[in-house]
Amino acid sequence: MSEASRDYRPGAYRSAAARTLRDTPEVRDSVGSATRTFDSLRVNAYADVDSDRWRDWARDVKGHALTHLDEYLEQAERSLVDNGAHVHWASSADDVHRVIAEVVERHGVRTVVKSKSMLSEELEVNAYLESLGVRPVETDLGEYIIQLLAEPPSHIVGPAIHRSLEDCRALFHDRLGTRLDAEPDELAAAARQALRNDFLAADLGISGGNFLAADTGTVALIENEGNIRLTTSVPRVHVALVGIEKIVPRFEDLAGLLQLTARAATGQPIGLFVSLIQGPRTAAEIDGPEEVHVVFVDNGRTTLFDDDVAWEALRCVRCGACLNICPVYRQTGGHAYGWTYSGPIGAIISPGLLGLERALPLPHASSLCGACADVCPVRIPIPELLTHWRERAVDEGFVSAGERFGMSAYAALAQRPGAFAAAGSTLRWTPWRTAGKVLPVLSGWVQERDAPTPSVRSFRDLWRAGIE
Amino acid sequence: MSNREQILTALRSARMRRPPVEHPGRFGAWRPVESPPPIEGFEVMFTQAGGEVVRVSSSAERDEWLRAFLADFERLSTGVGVPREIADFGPRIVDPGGEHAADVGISVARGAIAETGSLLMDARDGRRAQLLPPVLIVLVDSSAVHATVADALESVRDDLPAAIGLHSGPSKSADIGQVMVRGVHGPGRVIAVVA
Amino acid sequence: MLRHTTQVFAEAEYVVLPSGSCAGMLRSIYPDLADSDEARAAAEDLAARTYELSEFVLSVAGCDVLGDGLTGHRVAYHHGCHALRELGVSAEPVTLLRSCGAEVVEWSADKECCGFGGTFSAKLPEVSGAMADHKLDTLPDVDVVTSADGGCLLQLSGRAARRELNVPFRHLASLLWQGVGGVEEPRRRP
Repeated sequence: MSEASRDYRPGAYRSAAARTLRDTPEVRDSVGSATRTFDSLRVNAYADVDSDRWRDWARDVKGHALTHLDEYLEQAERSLVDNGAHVHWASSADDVHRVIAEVVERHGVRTVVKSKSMLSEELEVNAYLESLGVRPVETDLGEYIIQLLAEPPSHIVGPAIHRSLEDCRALFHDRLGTRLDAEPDELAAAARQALRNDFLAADLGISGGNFLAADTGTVALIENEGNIRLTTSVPRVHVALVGIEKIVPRFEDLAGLLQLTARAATGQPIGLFVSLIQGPRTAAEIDGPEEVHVVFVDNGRTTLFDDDVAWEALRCVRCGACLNICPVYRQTGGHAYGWTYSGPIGAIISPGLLGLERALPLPHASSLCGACADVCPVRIPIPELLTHWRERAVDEGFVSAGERFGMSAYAALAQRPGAFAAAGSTLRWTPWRTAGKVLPVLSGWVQERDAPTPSVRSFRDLWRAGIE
Repeated sequence: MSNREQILTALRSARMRRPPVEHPGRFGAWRPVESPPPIEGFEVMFTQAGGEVVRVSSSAERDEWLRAFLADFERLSTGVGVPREIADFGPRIVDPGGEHAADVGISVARGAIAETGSLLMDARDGRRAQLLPPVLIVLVDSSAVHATVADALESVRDDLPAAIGLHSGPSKSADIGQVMVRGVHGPGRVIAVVA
Repeated sequence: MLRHTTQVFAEAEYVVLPSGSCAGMLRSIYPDLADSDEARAAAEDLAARTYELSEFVLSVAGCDVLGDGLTGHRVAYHHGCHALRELGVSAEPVTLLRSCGAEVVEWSADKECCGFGGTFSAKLPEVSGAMADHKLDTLPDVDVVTSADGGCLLQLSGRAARRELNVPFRHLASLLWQGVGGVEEPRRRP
């Protein structure tokens, strides 16, 4: 059992974060280094183009799609059916599992190759496949690594960034028989060999979908390894799981979105492999899947869409830029957040997808610094949405009585200038460790920091005396 | 109510409360444009990503290059559109379905894109041949090189096969300790032969 | 409090705050908090007269020559998130420090959040402390660290003191006061 599986839920964020910092400080080093690298690549890629205009355009394409979402979903369904694909509508994870079970049974599926899909993590597809006696094989190198470790992904784009080269060497030595001092390319070659056999033997390939163009019925996928191309081309059957928010109106819209997503995620002009999939192989083709299923997945997205503020989070293109720049995420990586989606985007969509109570305290796992809004390619106002969820938590009664009392007391104090000044003076002279017994908020402070050394006279004193 | 109805109804009632956002129009290309001929732009971008470009000015020159290059290989997989003469160039041609046993492949691109250094690969030429060999040669017609991704998508939109791939260099990953490696699943070496 | 504050400053020509977060509150957030048209109008009126200290000194008062009281001092400037993102103030503090003779040294993490975030620092102290650690671990060799925000200085100096790092922290206003030849108010001896 790995570290990460211990009490894996958003509610355990604080203790999970504290444990990561205390017991596995190398995670902070690995995550810090990877995210800073990704972010500096993004900075260059944005600087190379008119990123402001581009981001406005992308915000509006996704905004237009979302404000006409039902119409475009219906159009996408028609287009995909015309292309010979099967379309399914899934309200819940159970509905998705049923679609998969039917395909597994009809085709006698024993092995499934999977490409990296956060949605499939959210839906717990691998566990379900295993319950059917089917072997799921993650083919993205990062996902392959964490599947061997029995860990969840810790970042949207790089699932194994919390693991060092040394970790990988030890793991591959143990599972694939490579030398303990093997170089990365030797490790990759060993993985390639093992996974190649799985690609060729698999009966079914399961992918996600980065975008779904409604007019042509195209599922678009971005990657760098080529495993998505193989997953969606080699096995006889392909199932694509696509969140309903992934719709874009027009095939041509993909030009801007594919490039912008790559620039925001890794600083590349485009992913090394882009798959534009319309349906099963046509009569004119010598290979490709005979059967293609596209599952339109809700799983809480309609709930999120119903919130008149938080629905903007559905513009997300899953680039991970907000994770890469977030000073909070950088300290721990994604496992501490306790669910599929971490970092700033995780904090604003989890309350919609899981329900606010289950997702707390994620909207509070932020200092509201605003760096995420600076980088988001589709201009999601993340800090506003974090504040919105915090307000809803208060309105819906999910804040402790102690905190409610503390906030009311502070508000009362702050509106009485005399009392406020007296409180300030008291804090200047009372050791905070002592005061912390009365004011719990101070005990949080003194756990990690010392109190300041006050000046002899306060600014108020100086002001009253007339500064000379 | 079916899932479909449930989902569509919920979406409809929420979005009716909001002002619609207008579609912002066609995405062109927002980079400082120096406008070299597309083929040169393609060469710069493709080689930057680790791909290789060979320019030839006739099919005779192309065949001469191919013969020389293929001399080091034993088993060749070919795309549907590859000229039949190549069968005599040396390596044994694998049967369809046997592409994973090839040590080199040749495919024909539908076109290329300068903006991103991408090859437009059509499923009708054969996907396994485009993906399974560790070394891939792609034949490109220089007149089919588009300046932008938007142009390229426009050109294929009304004649789409089951799948189109945009391949923009050799396969790569940095998932192992953030160190870049090549050829993880797709070809680790890609050579665009442009005529 | 919005109503109270707009009343208190109703007659002031300028409202100047030695705090990026407070100035940000008045300028960016007050108008949205207003619960009536009247309150909103008052908030917007106040916002238009509100400035952070260095912004006021440089852009409104037009003072870019202050003194030479910081000559020879190597200074690291921390850009608090409110001043940086809400107010767009980042060049002004650095310009003023230099105009007093200070050398403002490059700091790779200078624009990263220090981890204060108000209640965040007390509710999630471990992560908050780790954020401060990153700032402190990347600090160049300087004589003093400064910022326009008291909360940030509390956070960074508090963490530095806990780690027994010997680097002084002073508010931008105090340093500029020294820059014009003023005398620093002494600290209480512990």
